[in-house]
Amino acid sequence: MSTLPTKLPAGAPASGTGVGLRIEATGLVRRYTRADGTVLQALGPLDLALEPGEFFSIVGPSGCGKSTMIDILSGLASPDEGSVSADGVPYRGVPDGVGLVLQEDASFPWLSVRDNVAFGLKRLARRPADLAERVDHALEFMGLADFANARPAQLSGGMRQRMCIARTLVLRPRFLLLDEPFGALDQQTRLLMGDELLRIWRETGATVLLITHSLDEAAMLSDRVGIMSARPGRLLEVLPTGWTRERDSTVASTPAFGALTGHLWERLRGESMKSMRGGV
Amino acid sequence: MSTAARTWLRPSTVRWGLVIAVLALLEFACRAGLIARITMVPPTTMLDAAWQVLADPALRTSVLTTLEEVLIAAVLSIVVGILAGLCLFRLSWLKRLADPILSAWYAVPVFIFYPVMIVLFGIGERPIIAISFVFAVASMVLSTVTALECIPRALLKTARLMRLNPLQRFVHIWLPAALPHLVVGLRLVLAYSLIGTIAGEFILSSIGIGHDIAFSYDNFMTARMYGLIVIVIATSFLLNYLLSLLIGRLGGSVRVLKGVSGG
Repeated sequence: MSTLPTKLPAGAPASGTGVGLRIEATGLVRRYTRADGTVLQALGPLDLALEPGEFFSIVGPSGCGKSTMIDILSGLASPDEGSVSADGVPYRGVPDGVGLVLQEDASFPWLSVRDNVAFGLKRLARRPADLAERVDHALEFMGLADFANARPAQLSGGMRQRMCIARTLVLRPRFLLLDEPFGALDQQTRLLMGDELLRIWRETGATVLLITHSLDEAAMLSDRVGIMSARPGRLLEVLPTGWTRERDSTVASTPAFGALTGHLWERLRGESMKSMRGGV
Repeated sequence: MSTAARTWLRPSTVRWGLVIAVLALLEFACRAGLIARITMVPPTTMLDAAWQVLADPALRTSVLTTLEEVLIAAVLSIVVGILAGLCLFRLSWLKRLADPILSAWYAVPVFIFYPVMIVLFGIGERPIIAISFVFAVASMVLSTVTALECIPRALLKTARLMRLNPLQRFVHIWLPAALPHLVVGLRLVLAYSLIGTIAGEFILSSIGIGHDIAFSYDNFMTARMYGLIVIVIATSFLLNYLLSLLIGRLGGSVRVLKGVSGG
């Protein structure tokens, strides 16, 4: 992995705290109709409040509705009940200032890395005058400047994911959703990507919601960790981590980290058993 | 391995070397009398015969008629195949209904329907185009469905997140993402249209290159028959080359597209 700059370059995604959106979800419920006509409640009722500029992680057993929740919060799906608001304004559909990084490879293989990163900017109704500069900065910020003309197929999994993050960041999101973004990466790359994510969060000041299966990742990166129940997913507990804003992956070697992950697993174990018994 | 050896062992060099060697061997065998003139003429005579065919106004018309039939059948197959593929992709019940039919499509020799086509469309070009279309269209339908089903959901989600309008989604996401599989369909359509047309003309028609090949064969005009065969092979290569050019203009190089489809 190439060395990354430690400071956000001028003209890069908005910097400083206070630009993140305040997100509030109230009574979210989502149901699906199965092929046999029966109705399955996948989520809720779920209440969630994210403070502006907060790093919040969600952990939960498989199939508890985490991705459904992220679809609703990003505006890709609508809840059957309940509402979501950003800075007090309710929304349905994808609102301004929301960015989502998916677990799956979402790179456009027919475009170069530079064109991938510029893709969203080029399709904006009002194309920014400093488009090229913003793309260059995003590439530099994510350590991809040397690979700007490469195709995604020529990059490693971690670099492709960084490219997708750059493509999201270049749009300057104020609410950044991350759905298992490091799920396909090896442990070492995950740790390094976690540090990069913390750096991005500090520099941009965006509100970040991370969905992860990794308790270590949630405990290491977050201000608060939400534990979800087995399906239909509800928030069982929200745990403050107590880390300072200047943290990095070295917090994983502290005794507090062990206690935190121990508590998370204690709460999650029963829910995971329920999920397994339920055949999720 | 030395640079010179690497140059000589390049796949394209070896391929052309083999073709030239086989042609030279055939030339020798034919001229030495190892192969009877009634069975095969030397490749140089084939080329000369092909040139004479193209110089003959009547036969040139025949070649153009076949080409016209192939192109009409191919365009019809592409348009209908893509539209049908889109419908099958959007309507799962229709796809379930059509699946066994499409799976068995190439198990049925479509040329048995040629008399039916004559009844329906009369004598001339139209039954040939119809049989060629029936032969080719299924490959475009199947390729379209496969192409659409293979587009990663993550790309479609990304398009929605970037709030692309339907036209932008089609142009910037659906089309380039589906292109590798669509290209396979386009190539098959061209091949099947050519096969369907020539075979249709060969069996029952009184027009086109297929008919001329059959006529030459029946009347022991061996050189002319091989000349016509050369023209058919050259046409096939030319159509494929033109398709490659078109693909290049649509979505970059074929090499990149192969990369996309994992090839």
